[in-house]
Amino acid sequence: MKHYGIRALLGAAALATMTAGATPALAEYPVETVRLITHSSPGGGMDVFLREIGKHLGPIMGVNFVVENVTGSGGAAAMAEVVNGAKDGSVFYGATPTHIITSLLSAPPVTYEDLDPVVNFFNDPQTVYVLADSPYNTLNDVVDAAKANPGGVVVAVSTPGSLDRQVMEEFQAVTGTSMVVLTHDGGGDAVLSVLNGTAQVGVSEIAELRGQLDAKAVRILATYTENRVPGIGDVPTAREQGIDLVVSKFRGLVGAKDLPPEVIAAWEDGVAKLMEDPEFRKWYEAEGLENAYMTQAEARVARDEFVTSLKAFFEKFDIK
Amino acid sequence: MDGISYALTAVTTPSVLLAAAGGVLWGILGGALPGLSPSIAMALLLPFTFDMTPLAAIVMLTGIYIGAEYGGSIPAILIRTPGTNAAAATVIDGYAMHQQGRGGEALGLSLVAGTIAGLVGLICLVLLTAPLSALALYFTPPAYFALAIMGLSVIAALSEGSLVKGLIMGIIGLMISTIGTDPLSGVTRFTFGGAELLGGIEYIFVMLGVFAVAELMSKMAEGDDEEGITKSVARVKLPGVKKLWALRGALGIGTGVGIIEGPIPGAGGTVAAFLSYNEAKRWSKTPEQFGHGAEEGVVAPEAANNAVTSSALIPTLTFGIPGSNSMAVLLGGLLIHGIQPGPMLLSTRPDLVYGLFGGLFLSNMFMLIFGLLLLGPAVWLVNRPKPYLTASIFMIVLSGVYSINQSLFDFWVVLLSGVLGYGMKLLKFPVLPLILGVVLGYMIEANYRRSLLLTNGEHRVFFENPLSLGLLLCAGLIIGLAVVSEIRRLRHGRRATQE
Amino acid sequence: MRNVTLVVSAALFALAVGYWISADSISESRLAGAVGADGFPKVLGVALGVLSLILAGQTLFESYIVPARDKAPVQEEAQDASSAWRGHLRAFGLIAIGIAYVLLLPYLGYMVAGGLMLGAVATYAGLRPSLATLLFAVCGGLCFYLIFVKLLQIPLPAGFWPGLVN
Repeated sequence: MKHYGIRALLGAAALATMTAGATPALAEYPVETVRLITHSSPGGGMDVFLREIGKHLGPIMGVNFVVENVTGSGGAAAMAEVVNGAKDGSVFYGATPTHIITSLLSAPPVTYEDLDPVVNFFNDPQTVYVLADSPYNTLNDVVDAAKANPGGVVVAVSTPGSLDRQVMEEFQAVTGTSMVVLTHDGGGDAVLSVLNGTAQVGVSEIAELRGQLDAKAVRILATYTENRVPGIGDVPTAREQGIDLVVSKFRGLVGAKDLPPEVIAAWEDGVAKLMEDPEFRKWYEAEGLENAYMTQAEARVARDEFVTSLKAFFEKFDIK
Repeated sequence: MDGISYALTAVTTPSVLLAAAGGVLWGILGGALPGLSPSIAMALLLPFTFDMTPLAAIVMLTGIYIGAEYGGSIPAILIRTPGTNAAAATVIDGYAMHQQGRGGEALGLSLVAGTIAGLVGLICLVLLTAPLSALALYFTPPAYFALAIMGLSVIAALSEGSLVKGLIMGIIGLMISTIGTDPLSGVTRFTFGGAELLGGIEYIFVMLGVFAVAELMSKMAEGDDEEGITKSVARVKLPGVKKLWALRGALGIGTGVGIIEGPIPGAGGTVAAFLSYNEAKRWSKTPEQFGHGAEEGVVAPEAANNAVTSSALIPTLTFGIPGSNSMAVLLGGLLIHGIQPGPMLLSTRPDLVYGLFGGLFLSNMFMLIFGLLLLGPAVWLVNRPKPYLTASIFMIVLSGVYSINQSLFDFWVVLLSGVLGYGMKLLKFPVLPLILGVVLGYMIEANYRRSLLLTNGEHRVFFENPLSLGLLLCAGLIIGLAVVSEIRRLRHGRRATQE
Repeated sequence: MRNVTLVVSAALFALAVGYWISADSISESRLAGAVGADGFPKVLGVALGVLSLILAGQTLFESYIVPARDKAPVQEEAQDASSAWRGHLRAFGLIAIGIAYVLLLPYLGYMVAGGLMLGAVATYAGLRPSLATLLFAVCGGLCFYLIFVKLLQIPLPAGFWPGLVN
């Protein structure tokens, strides 16, 4: 109730594009029906994403995918569902940073440590935006303003535990500035705060800004990504502007530990093919998602790095 | 005018008619089952809208929303169980009317008031979109804080005679609202290390406990009294024009408050219902009847939460920003069909926007029709013998709640709230302040601290922001008036005892 | 009644103290802003403490100016009290059934646990055990199952039954 937000629901646009390329099936997958668990409710970001995967990946892997919504407790219930399920590749969890944050901040019976990454799909780019008539044109304008007037620049971010909040706290440390980071109950409220002038700068994912971008009500100054993001005009990354910050808001799939190797191999091959599927590509690029495909080995490393940085952040700012 | 022709086309399209009818019917059912919030009722049908035309899909989703906001009042009146958060204010006088054998009248009032308010809200949505969407932008953290304080100040007036007891319950409600994740830092508070409490306690759990479970406990305590009041329930009775005219004040207050609260993200139907209940009481010629079956006490909150269903659409459509869970689901439904709500929507898809207006009109009409059809069976159901009824109510309360988090833990919260509510009843602690505290606590704390963050700790901001100042003055007035009447009551009581 | 109110005031005061202490142990975060995560809870704790004292004071004051009217019907009051206590016990019996239901739910599943609860509460509320009770429990359990699990798709626990099939 308290933390509603469109972020949870975005990504949905896709289901309108309803086609499934009939690619010949790969090696036989051990089970016929695979359950994909998400902690978001029907229509939520992860829910739609998993349904989209089911639609396009089903024919590729020769598997029937079913999406199940196990909501509540910030993913704790969904994680338990996966760990308590069969270990034959028939149940997976659609993972975002949320499940790691939940694991670190509370002590759920099942944590990310009881799970193992399978593959990674995307990175959800975090962007810095301002009102269209804002005096700021680059990230450095924001830094200069903050230096000239410590505590005078207000940045709107979504929820307190979110990555966009985290990156703005890091931003101050990296640039040696002091700004006000204003948290909200969800991404939508944060956009409103920028629109009504409470905050001069906002941080958000692209999907959440789409309506305002189309209306040219806001401008994106920078993205916290490795490479420039297509589809939003030619916006330089933060790194290009001399501020070395990259956020990986990953979207991947995790499963129980010690799954059969042929299951993992089937996923790695299947998803590699999926990412090249033109229909699927059209969908995720329209969503502003960045292809961040990783095999299990790569995804494990990425997760460990993520956990380390998150722990360091929580420790630095005394969040328990 | 193009708009009118779009709307006319929409209301004559069979698929849209069917979507509105189906949505409203489902919504009333979902709203009437406690624990199933309007947003969950919408989310449950969301997958079925994927294959519909975009217009039919959004008409269906808004139809569910409208139906659910109305449906919540049915169990509120008949079994002292708010079906939705926004129906909590209806419980007090609606159930009192039911106990007096006027349940059928209360249901009729709620239905007609809801329909009228919904239609007036719709007219405002069409004519006043721009000013109402500007209203959403006026609300900055200090204004939100002041709005919540004004909501809380109602405690003073709703404490049923004991201000101290009312304040105590208000504080306990606020304490319950602090459980979960801290709104600013993200630190966890009072969760005792568990993940179940991380997201805080849902309002509806507390409401179901203190209203429904506590009432069942009282019934048990009364013993095998076979002469249940339910026997005397009259048939559903719609208010006539004369009656509506007599209730025009409450109806107007409810509708007005609802239309203004709707577009303000985060305020929503619950706050609107409570505020309008209080205002209706203040402006009533017979305020002493409130709490004892006042018709105005049903009309005002029910008008408010149905007026909200129209005006709450404004920020979703004009900014692409949902103000509540229900609106978030609606937004999801729009995006699935490749429609991006936002400032451009009206110019890019006028067919859809005006079609939706037409669909909203249909939904309100269907609400009236289905309401009439369903109220008969609902009244029949609550006229069953007491043991069956008690068992079924308890079962309903311990079923729908599971839909929110799919966690057994939530049942414990409901049962515990029931014990709390029963204790409060025995000791004559008022219930509404507790509910207000639970509903408003988060809004108060989060926005107070956000405001101070913006001003570097300066409290001046609350008095410099004109909106905040105005709302705080209103709050002061509400409290002042209540304190004066409390003092008068005490004096009067003392004189009576001395004589 | 007055004594009860005094006891309640004391309990509320204890709650206020406990809550304040618990608020004091909330970890301090540098991100909390001018008012920390413990600020609002502490204010609430103090407010509840003060209000509970006022409630106690008010009660004592009232008993001072309105001296226990007449001490004659003490016996009657005692009788009332004992019947009231019987009532409270009956009320808490309902909660006990609720607790049993929630405990059994994960094992017996929604349909069976629900049917049992419907039967138990109906009996407890005065229905004589009969075929009708049984019928109510069985049909009720089935109806609720159909409405909440099948129609509304709420994944209420299925219990151990599916395990028997495999």
